[in-house]
Amino acid sequence: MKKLLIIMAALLLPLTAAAHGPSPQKVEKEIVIKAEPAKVWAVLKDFNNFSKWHPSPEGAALKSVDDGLMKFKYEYTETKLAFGDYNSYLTVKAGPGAGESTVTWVARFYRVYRLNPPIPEGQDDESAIKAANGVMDAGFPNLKRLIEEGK
Amino acid sequence: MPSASTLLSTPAIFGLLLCAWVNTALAQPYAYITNQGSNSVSVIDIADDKVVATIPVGKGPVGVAVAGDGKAVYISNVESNSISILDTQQNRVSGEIKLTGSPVGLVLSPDDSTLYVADWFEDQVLAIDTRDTTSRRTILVGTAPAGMVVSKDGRQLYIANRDSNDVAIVDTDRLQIIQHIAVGKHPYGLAISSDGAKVYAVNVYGNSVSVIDVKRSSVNATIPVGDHPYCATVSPDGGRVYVSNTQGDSVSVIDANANRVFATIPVNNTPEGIGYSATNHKIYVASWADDTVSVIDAVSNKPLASIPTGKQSRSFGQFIAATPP
Repeated sequence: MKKLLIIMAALLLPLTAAAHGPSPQKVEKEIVIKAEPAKVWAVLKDFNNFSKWHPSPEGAALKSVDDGLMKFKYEYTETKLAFGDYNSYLTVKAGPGAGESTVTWVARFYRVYRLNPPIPEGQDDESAIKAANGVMDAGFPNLKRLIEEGK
Repeated sequence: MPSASTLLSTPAIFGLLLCAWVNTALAQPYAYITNQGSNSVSVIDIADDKVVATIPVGKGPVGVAVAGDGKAVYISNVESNSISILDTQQNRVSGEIKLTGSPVGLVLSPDDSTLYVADWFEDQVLAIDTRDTTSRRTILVGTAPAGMVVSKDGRQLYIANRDSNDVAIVDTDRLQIIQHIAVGKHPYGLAISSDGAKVYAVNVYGNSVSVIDVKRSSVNATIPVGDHPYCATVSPDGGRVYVSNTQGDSVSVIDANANRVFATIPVNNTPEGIGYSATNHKIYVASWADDTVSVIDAVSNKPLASIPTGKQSRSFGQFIAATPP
């Protein structure tokens, strides 16, 4: 009986993994880096650098790189972090000062719990937003240091 | 006592007539944009593509349905389990329909007498009498019902069941499912041609659009589009279908006769709800990530403008009025 339940649970997993709550969540942040946009973009667009600045890189995948718009897109195909269906992009623009760049980071994602309320603790919208904020709060200083100090 | 006509000189009468004519000619319908992050609706005047009013509604507004006469608009508030009814002449909320479920998709019957509400979590669709909103019928459908359209005669309702990968056809008199049509993976938005012959289902995970031949009740084409498509709208002549690609940050333009994409238009980030404005031949698409609406010229397929709205604009459903209120 226990074995059967495990098999049934395994069969259900792919179905539930595809669904999610009705409202996508958003986190958006900006940082100023003391370097020309071309230099910032060269570091950012190279996915080999990703794990040097992005926390919890396991399960993240590059989606696209747009040199014209200086837009870098990636997603999590799987992650242990407290969100699901996470996709994100970063863009580079000149300014505010001479020789400076502003990087904007936008993430769209859903909470982990994918069915009707009540929602278990740690799997709600608030937890997902906290996790996405955590990624950016750790990732941005890393990216700034990597570009400004080369480490 | 002199008659009115003798008081007005000929040029004055001509001027008044001209004013009346200009007003009629310039009066354009409005577009209603749901802003998930601001809990509001931005009202865009199509005449000059500017927001003329912002109306506070419930939490997490997503779906929109505009009455045929343009006088009422229904908004689904998925996070506060309610529908806001807007009075479009006053641009304010004139009523609220409280629900127990989570409303997402909305559509009105052609005579505006019935509002269909897709309840995401309860896997059901409600048919609410718009003259007495306490009068409700329900029908169990597939898993996570999302987008809906109604046939021209109002007798059939089409529902995209996102998590069961099908479109349900419902007989609206008996409120019973006639048929399930299998489509691509994760159908979300639906669109119907103005002659009612074709229904388009947008498959989010399939990166495609399924074309349903209504007469045959079957899919006769599957068209690859951009990354994570969400919603679609059909030109009034049925020749073009416009699809918003949420992760492609673009709109795919489909030649409906050839069933293929012939143009891809870059728009603002994370486009969701999309609508064709027949009065000025422009396409309006809500950009969730940029808090704007992108405007596209339907003749040249070129982006025309970007209109700032509230936060996380979505506008799921038919959000452009056919006539001014």
